[in-house]
Amino acid sequence: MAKSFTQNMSWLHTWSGLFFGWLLVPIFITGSICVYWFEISVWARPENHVMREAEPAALVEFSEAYLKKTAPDSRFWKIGLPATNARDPILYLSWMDKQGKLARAQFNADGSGDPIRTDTIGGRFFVNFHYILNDLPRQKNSIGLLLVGAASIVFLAGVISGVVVHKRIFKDFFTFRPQAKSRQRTWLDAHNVLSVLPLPFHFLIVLTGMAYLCYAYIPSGIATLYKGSEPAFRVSADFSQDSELVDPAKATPGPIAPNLALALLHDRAVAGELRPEVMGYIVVRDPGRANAVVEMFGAHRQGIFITNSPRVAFDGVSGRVIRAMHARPPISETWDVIAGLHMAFFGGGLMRLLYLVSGVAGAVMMATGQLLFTIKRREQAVSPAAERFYAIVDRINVATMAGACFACIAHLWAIRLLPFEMAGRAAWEVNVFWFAWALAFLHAALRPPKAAWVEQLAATAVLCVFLPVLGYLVPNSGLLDMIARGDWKTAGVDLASLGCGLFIGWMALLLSGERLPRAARKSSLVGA
Amino acid sequence: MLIVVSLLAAFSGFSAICVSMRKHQREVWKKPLDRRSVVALRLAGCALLALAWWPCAAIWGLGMGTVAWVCCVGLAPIALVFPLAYAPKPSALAGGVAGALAVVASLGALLVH
Amino acid sequence: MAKVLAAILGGYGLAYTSGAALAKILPLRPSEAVYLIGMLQVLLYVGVVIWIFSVSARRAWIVLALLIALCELVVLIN
Repeated sequence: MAKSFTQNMSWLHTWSGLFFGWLLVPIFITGSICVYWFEISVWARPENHVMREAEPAALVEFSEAYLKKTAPDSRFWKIGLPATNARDPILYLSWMDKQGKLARAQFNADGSGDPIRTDTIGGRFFVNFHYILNDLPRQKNSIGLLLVGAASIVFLAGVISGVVVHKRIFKDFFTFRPQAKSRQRTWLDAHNVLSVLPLPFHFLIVLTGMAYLCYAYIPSGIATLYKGSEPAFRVSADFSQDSELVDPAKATPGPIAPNLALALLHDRAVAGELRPEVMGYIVVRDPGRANAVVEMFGAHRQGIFITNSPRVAFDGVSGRVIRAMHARPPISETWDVIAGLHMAFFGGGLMRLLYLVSGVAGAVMMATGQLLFTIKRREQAVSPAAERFYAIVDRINVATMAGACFACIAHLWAIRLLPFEMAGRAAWEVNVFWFAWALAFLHAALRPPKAAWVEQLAATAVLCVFLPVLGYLVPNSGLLDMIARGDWKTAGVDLASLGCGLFIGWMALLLSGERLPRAARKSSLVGA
Repeated sequence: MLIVVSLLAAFSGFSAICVSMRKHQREVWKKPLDRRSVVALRLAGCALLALAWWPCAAIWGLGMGTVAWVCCVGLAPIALVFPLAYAPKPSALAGGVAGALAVVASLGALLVH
Repeated sequence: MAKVLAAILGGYGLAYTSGAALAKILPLRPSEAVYLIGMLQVLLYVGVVIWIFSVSARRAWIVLALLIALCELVVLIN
């Protein structure tokens, strides 16, 4: 009762930091990697490395022919042109099948009509892991979603309580004392340095992440206004009202579907300034019927947004412009900016690099906090039970931090090495991640923590450094060839892996104690 | 490459603020500074941090540039603090050089435009 | 421990019911309301967690219960 505010905050910071840190460090690592998830997806498909993009009109023509053949009776077609996502340009078709389910097909963007052959998860797993912890669809996996949500709330609360707990941070934030008598001091300094200045960024990234999926974390808005149906909410938020499906009984059969390629040209000629700058995707409602509506959506807008806002809707028979829309209502627009800040689709590769490094700094900041927990307490451990507890904490620390890095790079190795014709290849890429992580836990349990740290970091470093070499085993993916082609985005994945490998290897060397000042070497860094 | 200017400016801005603090004054100069130099250093530091915003805004525009600036200002001091512990004087010197480079590069970029 | 439960469950309960109450009374397009409510709920949840750890567990539970009841009342009336 008599506990002060500071003591309360300290308790919150320490314990929530410890338990949720185990979750948050892997989330921050995968979350940082996935700012480049489109690049990783392209990297994962060697056949796409030397591909030219066809003209949009040719692709639309091909899509229309394909959809007429495959889904003539469908009431919904969607044609995603490569420009929808310039970072991972593919032709993406989807349609509503007879059971009312969404079917889809992906094609190469070169206009050859070849489907994308490599069965790979690409960068998608990093994205899924960092917000739902596994590879299931979000709607079937509320536990993962809510765990990440809880971890985010705890992070925000932890940051605020951290400012209260480590009051001296503002006075000490340029201070790092590697020679300090107590190892605790050194780690605390590192923890402070890494938390204070990047704090605005970390706070922003977690808050925007929560706000991005706010309607899924606490679904009372959707429960009240859309009877709990998230798809209904998405449709009403993303599509203009005039494009809702009409009752099939009232849909009179009409002339054949309009030629979409012509509609595209028509759009350019007639709609003039209304037309989206770059055509992103096309939605056809009730194709081939008298009430057909063709909607054209622009590719991503310039700026911090994630949705494709400018759009034009035509009457599918006469070609008359029914409606044009440039922006969404103010609150949706605000949400869009917030989501955009989280996803870092804006600002190009350089901005994403800043996001990546800032995110990794966050992961290291939390890692130093985790280490502090046992370092601080072991010096005062009184009972054997407490000692056992700290030993377990130490081992879990190794597996959740070094082990998570190891699992991530093992996943990338699987993407490169699994045979292309393997059945269920994409699922196995993910399985490898889990196996590697389980292995890391096992290893951490069997070895003394300090040795486990060094060995797991060293293994990660080796895998990272040799990832570019694997490119020579699959077509079109040699690092030097990619650089010679000027394909920096794809080569960047290999180069980043190389860079991370060198950095992690350096950390492993530091931890192994060979390069440490004598004072620190005497008392080994992470316990015996 | 303007982003490098921003990182340099942020780095040197923090160096200036850092060496103006009493604890670090002793590390770098062995004796405390007089009041006027402390104020001058802090002002210069803040000015350099503000200068770091300009390249970001020039590359990305006001909104996105500010996001990038937050990242730069968050990251640059990490490169300052760890070397500072091992070699205070060279680190402070590097801060000064970085500041000079940032100012020259900014002026150069302005003249070119 | 009582506080941890209050923060996680109580905070969630308050965020959830306050969202439902707001959904009933906000005069906005439904899709706009969902976004606005969602963003407010996140801020509210963080605030509540911090607040709970700065007061006693009993007081936290009492205030939470009162607020949740108030929100439920708003939902029922509308």
